[in-house]
Amino acid sequence: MPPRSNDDPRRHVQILPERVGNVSGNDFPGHYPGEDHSWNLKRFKENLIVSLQRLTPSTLEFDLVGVDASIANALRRVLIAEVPTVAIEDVYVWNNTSIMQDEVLCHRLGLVPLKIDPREMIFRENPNAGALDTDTVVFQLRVKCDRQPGTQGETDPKRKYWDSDVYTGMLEWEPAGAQKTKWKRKEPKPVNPDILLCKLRPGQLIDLTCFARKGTGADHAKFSPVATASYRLLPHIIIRSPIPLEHQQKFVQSFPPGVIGIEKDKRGQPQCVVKNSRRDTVSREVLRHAEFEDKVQLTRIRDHFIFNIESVGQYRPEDLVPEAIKILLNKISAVEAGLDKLFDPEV
Amino acid sequence: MAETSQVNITSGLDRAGTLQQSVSAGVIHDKITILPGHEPDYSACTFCLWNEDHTLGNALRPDVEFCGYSAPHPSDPKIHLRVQMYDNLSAVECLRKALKNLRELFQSIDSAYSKSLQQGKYIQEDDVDVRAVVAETLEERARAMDIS
Repeated sequence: MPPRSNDDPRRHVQILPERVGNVSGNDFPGHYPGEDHSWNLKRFKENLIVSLQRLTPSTLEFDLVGVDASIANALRRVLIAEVPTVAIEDVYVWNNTSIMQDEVLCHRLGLVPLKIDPREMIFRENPNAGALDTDTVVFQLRVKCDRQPGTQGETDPKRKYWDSDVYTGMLEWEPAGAQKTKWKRKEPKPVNPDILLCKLRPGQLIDLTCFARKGTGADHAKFSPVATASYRLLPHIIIRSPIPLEHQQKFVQSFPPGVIGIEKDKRGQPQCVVKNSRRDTVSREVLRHAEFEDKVQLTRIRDHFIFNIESVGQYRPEDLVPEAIKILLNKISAVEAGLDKLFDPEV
Repeated sequence: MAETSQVNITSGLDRAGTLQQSVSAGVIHDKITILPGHEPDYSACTFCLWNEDHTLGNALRPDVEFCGYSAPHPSDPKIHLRVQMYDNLSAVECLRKALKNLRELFQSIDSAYSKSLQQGKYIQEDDVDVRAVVAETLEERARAMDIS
């Protein structure tokens, strides 16, 4: 079977001046008479493309081609709400004389991303049972602000006081049970040590104990391992007829830089060509000008998803997708086990 | 004695109803149940999946006469999956097949992903240094102010 072409109109979502057209998928049985579109793993594998595009210490961009929107969306939803992380859940405030109320300070602590591998911890089964070293990580925060001696006339609080700013880096891990040996070289700590939690003035102090546990974004957004996990469809621009020389510069400027280029054709005439449609933001600017009417068609490829994932820091960005797929596979197994139980109560 | 005999005659069909009741009574529920009112031969059923949402519901729509899902209420952690079959085929078998296909699908995505990751044919670079960008922007702005 020849590789599928981006020019196949069946794969196009039309982008029209006032609306989008052909949004729904059409590759299901019974849609086209005489064509077999039933599920076929071999055919699926042939058409499937997963290709990483860009990887940085915190972000990942990859293409997922050849799947239905429901699959891409399932992946996105699991990344946001069901891949677990560890975050502060309970805070015991022994003393807090700062101007920030206890509950506000505790809420801020809960949102701090913690560098703890969630795969090495278990979910706390009963929230009323005692904490275990396998399901809880304890942090202490003890800060007191004091005046630095000999700083008369100084106006900068950083030079005038000690510990007037409370940062996440001041959270101190308190190992319990087997944790000390287990995390010898990767001690639990906040991902960013320089998040400002609160400000103090001489005499004010904070003394509290935090219990962090494993949870999912479905429960609270603080457990979400991604800052963003989103996808967009690959833009595809079709130039239907040559753009006249006098309009070429305007045509190029109707798109973001790098999308359209001007190249010499066989007869040495300059022509507008699509250089890199991935960079297009699909602003539809080109559709506003009468001179380009019927000369250009804007589309997107319906089954070409460009994923953008930004990790908060608990996972490496490239580890997030395999984790999400693992969770989806567990879901499937859970439903299968439920079906078995439904029809064979003895199991 | 009467109680044990009742358990013995409980078929899968009746069990679905019992489970439904146990759910409303606040007892720990099963992962999947069949709602009352299905065809006796299971050719048309509404499945009820607990602790699932659009993530699985939308991904799981097997090819049949009719198939759809709904979340009855956003506060209930469950979805209803309706499957109606042609030729009195079993909707339950169809769901099993759909689950199997879905597993194979995700496994192929997983292996294609790790293959692409290993090949390393992608741009690898550092994160944008926000502090440097801000400093540069401020500098540019200061220069623009000087000129004007």
